[in-house]
Amino acid sequence: MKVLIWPILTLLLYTLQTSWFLFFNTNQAPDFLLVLVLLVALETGTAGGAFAGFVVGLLQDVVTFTFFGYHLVTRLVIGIVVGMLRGNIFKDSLPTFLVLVALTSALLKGSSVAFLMLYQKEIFNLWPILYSTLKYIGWNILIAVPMWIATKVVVEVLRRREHRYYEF
Amino acid sequence: MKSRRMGVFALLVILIVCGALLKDGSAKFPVLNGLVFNIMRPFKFVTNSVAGGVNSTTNFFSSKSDLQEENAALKKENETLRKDNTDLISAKAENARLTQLLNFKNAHPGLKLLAAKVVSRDLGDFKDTILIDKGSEDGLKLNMSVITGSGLVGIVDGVYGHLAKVMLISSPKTRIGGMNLRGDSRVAGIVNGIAGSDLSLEMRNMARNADLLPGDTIVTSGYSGYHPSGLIIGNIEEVQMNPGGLTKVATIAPAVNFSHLEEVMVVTNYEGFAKTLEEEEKKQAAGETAKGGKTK
Repeated sequence: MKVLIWPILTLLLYTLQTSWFLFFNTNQAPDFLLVLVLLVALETGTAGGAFAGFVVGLLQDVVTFTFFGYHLVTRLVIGIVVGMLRGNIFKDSLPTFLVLVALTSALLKGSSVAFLMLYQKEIFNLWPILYSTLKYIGWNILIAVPMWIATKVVVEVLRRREHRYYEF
Repeated sequence: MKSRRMGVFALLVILIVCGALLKDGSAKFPVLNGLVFNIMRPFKFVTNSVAGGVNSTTNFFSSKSDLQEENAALKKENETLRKDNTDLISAKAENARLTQLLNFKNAHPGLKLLAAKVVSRDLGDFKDTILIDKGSEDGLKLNMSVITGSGLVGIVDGVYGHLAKVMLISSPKTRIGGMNLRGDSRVAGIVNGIAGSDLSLEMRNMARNADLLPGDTIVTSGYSGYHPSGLIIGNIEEVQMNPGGLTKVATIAPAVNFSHLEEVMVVTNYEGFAKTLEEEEKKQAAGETAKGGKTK
């Protein structure tokens, strides 16, 4: 049962990301899966982050298939790097997490633009891209707060349960 | 003697009063009435005030519960009205979209169109694919054109049972034959997405002296063999020479608003020459294989 929680959660968040925001007049939706990868990487470290990044990236690549491998590589790198940095940042501080979300979102958006520039061999007008990047960062920060709180609650519940188990 | 006089006087007064009362009521004694009323006035005031207070308090409590009930009923009614209003606005918008689709269908009687709902979008970082709720079970095949009343949306890029993936024309990987609709121009080129955040398109491979002007409408040329001709792609925003200076490049604003996509239609009956070419190629390849086998 515990094994099924992660795939179900991932699919739920992906559905939320891709379907729920259809109802809004926006071409920008929050990246729930990116925030999930960051949270998993911060909680579990390099191996967990890498695994979460790999699964999430693979899912997005399989569904879109436009540039197969792009999502996989970027999410995997994010999972590994954030997992490695875990010991060097205040991972239990919400502001730190929000800064991390903003930074990762900006880097991810920058990497996708750079990738497309290389693919099309031309330089894009960066002003509209900057605007959409800011929107992307804003959305991600917005959803990062409840997701961070929810993760902390779940982690705390699990920790207490473990303590109780060892007490008996 | 004195008491007898007093008795007579009292009787007289009583008789006068009774007679007056019997005859015409209190109107005949204005001074007396005034006096009585003035004496009674403070009492009356107090009594009235107290009674009024009690009455208003009772009214307050009784009307409070009435008001609460009324308020609850009004709130409920307001909620219902608000919901009705939202439904109405939604239905109006849906009606407008469906009318547009119907108009398109009526304007293109030769095309067999299958309506589908958009179930997912923003699937990846490039925002160039959407999922629709019709698939191979509904007769969808690869490379079919997906449109709305406004124009071309994209092409079917993946088909599953009751789901299909549509690659939007704004994707940098899409290539569609486009043509200037203006009668004295008819310049043809290849349209693809720019992949910028503003979801604009560009038309390439046109001669340096090609007749293109901002505002011209670009439609599908049908030269790709996959799409019927005449589907609106968008309007030209800007025309410039490519960096080498040999060909022209036009930036196109798509006719379709990709952030508003809710219903689309798939052209299911168009069979361009692309299919025939593919079959010919297959036949040729099969023939060459057989030939090679015989030689051996």
